[in-house]
Amino acid sequence: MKGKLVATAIAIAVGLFILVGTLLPFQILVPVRLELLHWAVIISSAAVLVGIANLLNVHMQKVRRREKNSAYSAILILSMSLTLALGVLFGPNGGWMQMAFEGIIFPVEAALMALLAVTLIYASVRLLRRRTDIMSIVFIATAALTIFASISLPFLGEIPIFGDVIHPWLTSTLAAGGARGLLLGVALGALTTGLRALFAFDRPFGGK
Amino acid sequence: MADILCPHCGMPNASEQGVCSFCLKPLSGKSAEVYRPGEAPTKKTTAELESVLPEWLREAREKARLADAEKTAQETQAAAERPAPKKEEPPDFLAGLASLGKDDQDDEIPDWMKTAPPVSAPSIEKEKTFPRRQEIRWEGDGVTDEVGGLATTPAASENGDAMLPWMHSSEASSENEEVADWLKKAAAQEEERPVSPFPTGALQPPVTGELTDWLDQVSSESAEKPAAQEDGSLNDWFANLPRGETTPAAEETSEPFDGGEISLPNWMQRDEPAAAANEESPALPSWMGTFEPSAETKDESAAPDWMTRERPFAEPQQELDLPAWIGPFGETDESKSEASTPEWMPHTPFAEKEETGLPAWMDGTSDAKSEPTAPDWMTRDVPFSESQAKDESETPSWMGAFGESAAQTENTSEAAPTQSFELDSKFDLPSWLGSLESTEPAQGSIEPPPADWPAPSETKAAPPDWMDVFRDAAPAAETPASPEVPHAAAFVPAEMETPQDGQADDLFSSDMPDWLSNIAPSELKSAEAKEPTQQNIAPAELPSWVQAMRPVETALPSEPALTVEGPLEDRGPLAGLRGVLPLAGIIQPGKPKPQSIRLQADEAQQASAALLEQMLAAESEARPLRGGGAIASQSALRWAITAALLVIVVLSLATRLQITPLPTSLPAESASILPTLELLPEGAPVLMIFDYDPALAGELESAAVPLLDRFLASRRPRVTVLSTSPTGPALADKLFAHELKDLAYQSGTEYLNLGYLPGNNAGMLYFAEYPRKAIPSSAWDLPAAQDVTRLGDFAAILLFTDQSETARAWIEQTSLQRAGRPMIVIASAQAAPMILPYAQSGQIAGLAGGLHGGAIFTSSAAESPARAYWDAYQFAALFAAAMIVLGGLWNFFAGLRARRQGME
Amino acid sequence: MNQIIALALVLFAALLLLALSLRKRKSPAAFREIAAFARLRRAAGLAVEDGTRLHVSIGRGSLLSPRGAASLSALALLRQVGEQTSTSDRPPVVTSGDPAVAALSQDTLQAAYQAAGVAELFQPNSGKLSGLTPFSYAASAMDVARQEYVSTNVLVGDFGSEVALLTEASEREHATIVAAAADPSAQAVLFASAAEPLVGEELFAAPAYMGADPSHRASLQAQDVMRWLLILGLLVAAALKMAGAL
Repeated sequence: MKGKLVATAIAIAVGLFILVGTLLPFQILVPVRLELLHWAVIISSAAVLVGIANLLNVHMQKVRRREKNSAYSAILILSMSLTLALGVLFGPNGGWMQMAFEGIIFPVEAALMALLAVTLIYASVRLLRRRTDIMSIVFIATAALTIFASISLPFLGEIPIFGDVIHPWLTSTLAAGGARGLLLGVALGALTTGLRALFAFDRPFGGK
Repeated sequence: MADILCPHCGMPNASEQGVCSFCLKPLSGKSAEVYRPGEAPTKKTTAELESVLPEWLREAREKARLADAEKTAQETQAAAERPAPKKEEPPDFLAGLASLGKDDQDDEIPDWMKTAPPVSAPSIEKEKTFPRRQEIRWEGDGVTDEVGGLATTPAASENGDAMLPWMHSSEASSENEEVADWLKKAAAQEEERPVSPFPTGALQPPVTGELTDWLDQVSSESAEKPAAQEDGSLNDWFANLPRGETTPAAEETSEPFDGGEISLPNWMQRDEPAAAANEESPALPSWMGTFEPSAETKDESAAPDWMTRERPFAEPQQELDLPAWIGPFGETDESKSEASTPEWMPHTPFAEKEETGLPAWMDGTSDAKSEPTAPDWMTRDVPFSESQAKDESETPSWMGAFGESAAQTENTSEAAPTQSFELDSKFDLPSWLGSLESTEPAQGSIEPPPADWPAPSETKAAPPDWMDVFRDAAPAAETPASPEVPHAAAFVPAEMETPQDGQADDLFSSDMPDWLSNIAPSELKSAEAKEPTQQNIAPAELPSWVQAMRPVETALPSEPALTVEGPLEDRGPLAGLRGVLPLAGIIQPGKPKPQSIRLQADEAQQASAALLEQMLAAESEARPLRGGGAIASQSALRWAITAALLVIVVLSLATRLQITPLPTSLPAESASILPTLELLPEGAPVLMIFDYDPALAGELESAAVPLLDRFLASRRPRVTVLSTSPTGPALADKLFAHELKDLAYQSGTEYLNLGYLPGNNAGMLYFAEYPRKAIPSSAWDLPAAQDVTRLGDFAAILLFTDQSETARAWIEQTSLQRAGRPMIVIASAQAAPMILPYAQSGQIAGLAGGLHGGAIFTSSAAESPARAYWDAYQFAALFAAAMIVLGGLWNFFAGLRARRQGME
Repeated sequence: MNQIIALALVLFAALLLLALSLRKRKSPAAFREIAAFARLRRAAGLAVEDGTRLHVSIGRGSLLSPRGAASLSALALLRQVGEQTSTSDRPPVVTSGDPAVAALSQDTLQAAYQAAGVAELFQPNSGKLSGLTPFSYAASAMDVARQEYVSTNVLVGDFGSEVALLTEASEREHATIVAAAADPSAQAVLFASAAEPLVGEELFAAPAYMGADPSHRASLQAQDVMRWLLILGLLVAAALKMAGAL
């Protein structure tokens, strides 16, 4: 119980310092704020190590229990260990690391991105089957219009009117305006959420 | 009004009486106990009551004791000589009588009872409670048999007969002979014995130790007739009566009851030598032995007086070995003058026929008066009817308690006495006699003797009082009034009402009733005479707790007793009962009519049931899964899309198709990029931030390479690379190693990769404030960044990102520290719209988005990724758009159709 | 100037939040019905009933970034869902793309189990770091979503377009999807793939709709108040701009 109180007090104090130091032009608060930020950076870096350890533990437990797809977990553990060894031995910018990145990470993620394209096309095709309402129709229409406005036809180039009138209006006016509205709402939500954390209404750290 | 207990006999009397109705002694003088109904009676030993017994009773008791002692000695000797066969020991019916002390006898005890052997005190104590019929033990092996102080085991008397001690009487020898004669005559009529309902022994007679068990012994006795003892001791038949707790009659019967022959008790047998029968199997009591034919040779003195005189128990003159409990039966001279049958058994179903010489009761005759030889109860049809007993005045008073109406006595032979009487516990009577109670009189309940009830010795010609129970319920006018005698039916017919207050179970559960000690004849009461009998007992004052426990019904006016009406059933198992449902009409002859078991329901009900059944069936039916069809179609569509895209892109890339023209118009946000970069001095430090994911590296590289290729080639800046993503530095190296390899940027001299900057926004802010502190590295001393100490020292910042948030964060966090240095953002197509406001607001110098943004800076002749990917990108996008439009329309109409079908 | 405006906005929001949180209402605040949260409540109950598992993915947003607010809101939602499903035969599993958020998710689950009185049932590995990059995180989360006994995938937090992979995996397993994202591109993807998409700031309303404490409801009310004020301000500014005053 005492630990939770201390953690809560630290969170509130640091948050107030950062907020006040950011908003108020008090020079005395600047170094404090920056130092606190520095601590936050260090802690976040340490959190990466904790996360990696947690990842390792989860997959090792999966292998130990011989759960489903535990073979992939074993491959992950081996790959992690090998990459760690290469990085320690040859440095993060070494050739082996670059080879591992260019040979494994980059292609895998690129493939996932290509899969995402297929997924998005499929989802768009099935949207009206799943949910038939005016917003879905507008969504489909907007998506199609945007694509048509941004492509160039063979031998013809940009589609007239779509390329020079509709596309700018869609992207600059509708999309941007809508996005701004969404971002404003998200910002307001983020603001109240941050304040709730600042006032200790939300204490994800040990305990409420 | 509380009853007054007589201090002499202990019988309850009305409080206004001055003389006891039973013993005719004054109630005052001594402390008269006030008896209140409901209170527990005070137990008293029989020995204490010896003084109040009549003289004749005392004499009989004395004689019984003596006879019992002699008999015990004889039996012991006989048992020692040869092993006696196991026989059913009759219950010790008279065990309680043995408790009477010899010294307590006074003149009131009849002479024949004076010879009764003394009974030890412990046995008296033991038998204080009137034993139940089931508990009655007939012990003949040395155990003191007492019933009410009178010995039950016949003792060897001086006359040698087998009668009970108290049955012995010196003056009744002649009477004994007469009694023995009629018994002998009765025994001679073996062929006339009534047919036993148990011919083959399959149906065993109930052995309950009740009085009727002596009948059971008839079936179980062997052909050997017990020898009639000369002394006519009654102990034999008592001794042979079955015990109460065991039911060995069926098993231990040495001889199954044959329908042709009935092995009567010894006292009922007259052909066999009595001596042999008595010695070997003393089934008959000694006093009954005089009834056998062989008893003719016996000393006549063996016959008890009560058996010979008209009123056997009217006078205590004869010294008969009668059981003590038969004490108040009275002894009269008339009984002596009677034929062989004692008057106490005038008429029974087993009446002897006149021509055969059997007692009248053995002939089954019903005329009580025309049977001089047999007791009345033996000869009349209804042996124990009260009216007959009342008319003849022959029934002893004790038997009057068992009396009931004549109509209900047909089954007296089968029934057992159900009435119980609770008498004063002064007398140590058997429990079955002691439980006889007169508080809630039923038919034939015990009644206190009237005040004018003559002493037993005074009555000579009148029949024994106890015979009242055998008389029919004839109008009382036909019979002379007889003194009130507490009487109870020994054999209660089935039609008789259940005695109230548990009298049936209490017959043997209490001490000797007081009426035994002082029995006076009483008028017979019918069923309607409950109130008259109740009038003799003054209403008592009930305690409050008793009144609280009274049922509600008692508060209601008493309803007349239910009388069963209806025709008398004359056949079948219910013969003799009234109010029985007639069989005719209930049992239909022939085959029963078949009944339909179908549920009768109308159409509406059937329709509702069918509907309910459908609903229930629908609930229990498993819903079909979505099915492989839907999943297969989804997979097929995915594969189709994938295949189409692959074909389009691969073909376009493989064929280096370049039929699609590049965009020519430059967006406004991208128009200032090249001029801004052209204004930078040569070799100026430039910060490049690679904050995008490897998945979008293709798009960003295709967008960034045309611009960087032109900028780096023209101004050759010193590049410092930074990333807030762990994979950023690797992406930067890949870009410079592959896409920009032609520029041959040298690591350390022109190219510095600072690596990963943790902390996201905080790291950005910290780096913006203190770059060297944010990334403490020795690489800062390299020529590529040796003159950079703060963010403003960089000439320009190029941000490569795929997230609008990242761009926004870099823009916002570094706005102050950049000191006006231009920031150019190359973003993916998905983030460009979000970053455009920053470009339009002037917070950034330029914005290039996606492949389109890169294609703008690509000339048609240049070899750039944008040019290579442009056609494939355009064809794939066109395909995607077409798929979205066409597929959307298809699914739109398909969904409408499916919904319409579902609604239908 | 910007800092002054920011400070004023923060102070106003703080005061409003405090006032609404501390005010004792006679009747609980009424919010509009959101089908996605109703589905989530039902899914949580069904998961307990039929012994299936809930997969909660709280995204890859770092707490040190503006996306951290979405992660905090997702953690608050996790607290409610975890308490409701802690007694299930198969407890919920949480995946995230940020190490710090992964650690906080474990702590939040433990608090949920303690609140439910079944602290002994908590398993630390219920909250796991799926990946450090978005697509690696999505790939690992896809594997969790395809596991057996996952009846509902709750995708609430900071996502990008990679969330489409998660929805695709859920649809293949015929699992229920309840998704909300802060990024507009993710919202667009979710709009096309989810049954009841949550758009905009509905992500931050998740804890209030799932039965959190009054502070969450007060936060929603504060957002509504400020939104209306912002709309009013924008309209006034636009009008003034059109009028030439600005």
